[in-house]
Amino acid sequence: MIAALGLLVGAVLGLILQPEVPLWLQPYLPIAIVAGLDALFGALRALLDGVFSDRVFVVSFVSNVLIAALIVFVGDQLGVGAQLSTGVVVVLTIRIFANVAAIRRNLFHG
Amino acid sequence: MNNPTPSSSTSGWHRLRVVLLARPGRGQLVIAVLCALLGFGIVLQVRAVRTEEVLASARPQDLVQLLDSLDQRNERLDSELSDLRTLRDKLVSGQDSERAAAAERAARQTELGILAGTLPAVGPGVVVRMTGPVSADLLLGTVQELRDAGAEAIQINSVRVVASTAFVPKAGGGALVDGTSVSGPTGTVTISAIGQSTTLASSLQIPGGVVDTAAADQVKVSVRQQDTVKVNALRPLKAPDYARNGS
Repeated sequence: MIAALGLLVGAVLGLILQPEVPLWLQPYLPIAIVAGLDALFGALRALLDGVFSDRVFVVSFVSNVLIAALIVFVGDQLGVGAQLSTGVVVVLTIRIFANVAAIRRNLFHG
Repeated sequence: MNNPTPSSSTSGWHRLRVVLLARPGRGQLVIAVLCALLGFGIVLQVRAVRTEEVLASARPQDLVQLLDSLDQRNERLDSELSDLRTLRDKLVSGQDSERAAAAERAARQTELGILAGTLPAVGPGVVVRMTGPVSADLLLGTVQELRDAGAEAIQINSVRVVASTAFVPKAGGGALVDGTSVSGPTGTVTISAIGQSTTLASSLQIPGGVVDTAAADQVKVSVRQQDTVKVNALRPLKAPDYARNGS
């Protein structure tokens, strides 16, 4: 409940403040968001499976975001940033699909 | 959320309800902050993509590629520009030389027209009036004297004197100029000549010159210098039948 509220509050804050995205963050923000979404869906799945732990969620969220950003950063340094971000997005999207599929099974067939 | 239901057999819906109604704990606060961050980021990114230029968020490689293609296009346009400039310069200079040639042609036409007698001429000169039995010899001498003094256009009465002009004695006195009778035993012949008037006048009046010769023939001669002498008798241009351009 409070998590959904947090999401809403964050979105509203973003709309109200309308901050500029800093330049150094621009390549990483989209990837970080996708990674965060992946962590969120993973948490939802764990919750429905009854194995949710807030510590695990926090660690997975932070590490997901950091690793995604790191991969893109390394890719940029190696000159394959565009390809690596595509790869990261693909992998994370697959994970999101898998998590959503698990959630759906849990809710409608459990 | 941090107190999962102990029964694993409970359905997902039940767990969801439990979680949604659960009292927020400290662990949930961290989760809420993370979710807020996520929402914040999403809104930020969506806004950035919507409002900002595509270039601002583009990668260096893409930018370099874009720059490259722009450079190439720039180069192409530059070369096109210089081509067109050259063409324009060529056309302008062509126009100039064309104009110069036209002016040259017009000047030459005037020159030749005055020489050939197809154009009327006006300018300073002398008007010579001869009264009495003017002979062809006297006319010829007068014309030669005038030409020698630099006369540029001459007319006798209403006959233009040109290169092919002939002076023929008329039976019974007088003269024919190009087949036209200009003088008889009596009467007045008017010769108009354009040139430097003082030179023309003095060439006729030198001792033993035209005026003296005329006096011996009982012809009275008056020479008048004028600022504007009109030589407006014309002569049709005759194309040469036999002479060809030999150059």
